[in-house]
Amino acid sequence: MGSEISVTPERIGQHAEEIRSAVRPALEKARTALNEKGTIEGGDFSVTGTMASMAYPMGLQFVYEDLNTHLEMLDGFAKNLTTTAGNYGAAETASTITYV
Amino acid sequence: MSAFNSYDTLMGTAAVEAGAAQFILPPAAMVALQFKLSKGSPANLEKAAQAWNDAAASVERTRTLLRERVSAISAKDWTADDRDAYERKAGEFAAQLDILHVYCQAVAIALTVFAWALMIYAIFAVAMGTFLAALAAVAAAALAGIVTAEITAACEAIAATCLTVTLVATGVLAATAQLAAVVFQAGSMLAAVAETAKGNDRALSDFATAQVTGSAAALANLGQNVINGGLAAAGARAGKGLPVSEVDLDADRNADHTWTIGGGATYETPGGTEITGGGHVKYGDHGFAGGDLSGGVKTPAGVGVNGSVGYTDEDGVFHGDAGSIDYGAGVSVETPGSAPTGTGADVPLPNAGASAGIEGSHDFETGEGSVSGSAGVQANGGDVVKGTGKVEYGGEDGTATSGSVDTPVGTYRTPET
Repeated sequence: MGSEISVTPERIGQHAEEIRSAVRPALEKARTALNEKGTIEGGDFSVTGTMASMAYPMGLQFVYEDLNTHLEMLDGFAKNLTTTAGNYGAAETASTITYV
Repeated sequence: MSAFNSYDTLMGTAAVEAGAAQFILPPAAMVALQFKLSKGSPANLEKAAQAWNDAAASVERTRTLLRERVSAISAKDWTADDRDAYERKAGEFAAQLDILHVYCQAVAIALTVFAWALMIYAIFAVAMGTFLAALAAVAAAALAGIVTAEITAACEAIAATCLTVTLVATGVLAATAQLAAVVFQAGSMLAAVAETAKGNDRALSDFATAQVTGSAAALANLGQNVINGGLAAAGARAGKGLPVSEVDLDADRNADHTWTIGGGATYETPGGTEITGGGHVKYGDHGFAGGDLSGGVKTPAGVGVNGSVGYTDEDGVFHGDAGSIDYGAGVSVETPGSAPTGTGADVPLPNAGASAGIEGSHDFETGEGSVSGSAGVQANGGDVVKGTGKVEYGGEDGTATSGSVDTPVGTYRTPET
């Protein structure tokens, strides 16, 4: 009857922690690399290369915004996983009490 | 320094040669202007390309990490409908990062290609400048009656052809810049559309935000290049007369939403002393976040001094952590880069120089900082030899020193202590 459910809340909580401590810092590194060394002075493209010097800041800003969005998405994953682990944990505790 | 070590010397040499030839062969003046308009900084573009490569690698690593960590959760630990939903979301996330990864790599490649286009143009410019110099020598000899005078007209015709060739070469460089621009802008739009298809409902609004914030920086770059193009053209036509010879405008925003807005200008007094000055203000989500000031003076005798100081406090001045200060000062001496002529225009000369300086930084929050000194020799505006030494203090490892010597053929480092 229905699909089988098997859950270890601690493991889900641990996965949320992995996202916070390992996955997010890896993406943060991309943002830091561009933030520290990605800005190019208009003159570096030369006056002849003005087309490129105008388009470049827009590309850079897009990646900043996109990285910010994905960092927020990872925060959302971690938060929801913690909530899920908490809910399963609470349900388990409740059922234990019922059966005792 | 890098493969682009010799770029500044090459472009400087080409400008000297074409500039000198213009007094015998008028079309050479326009060639010299094209060279001036086409001088960029391939070394800086290469540095930025490396940052994009690093970003691409980090995005790729994030994607792999997430996939590994999700699949490492055993069926025993989590089998339920919500796991399927989560895995679908994580899969979409990874697919979006794949697209971002490709975009970062594309930008890195476009920057590298354009850096090499600048370098190839510099090599072309030296060849053209050397040819014009030789042509001018022949024409001068003809004018002086050493060889047949008719040759002068032929030399002028050849110089006119050289101008056409240079304009075509400059056009090729401009077209390469346009291709890079397509990668930067159309590429980011394609990435946004593709990510939307992979379930990122914010990618398109990220693109729109980038267009708005990026266009301020784009307009600053456009304004700066248009003004500098005009100043270069005015200088090529009239020689002297304009006291302001170069301007620099900036409006850049970093990933923490802090704007850096400001500019600088180079001013030349009637006596030939060159004064540069500039400043920037940083303004972010938390208000005023620092600023910088810089200035310098260079006398007609070739002696120069300069100094700068900047304060940065990303979380806002008077908020949160204390900021950090950067400072620098330098002295230089060089042989005159040009000599006045009776016609009102200056004739550029090959030049050599030497410089020494000190710079450092100090973080008021952590107490860490570094001070470095450097000295070097330059020819025609590019570094020939440059030595640096550095002391770092206040870090986990206590105090550390390091040093290196750059030459056109490579960099030699002293072992770190």
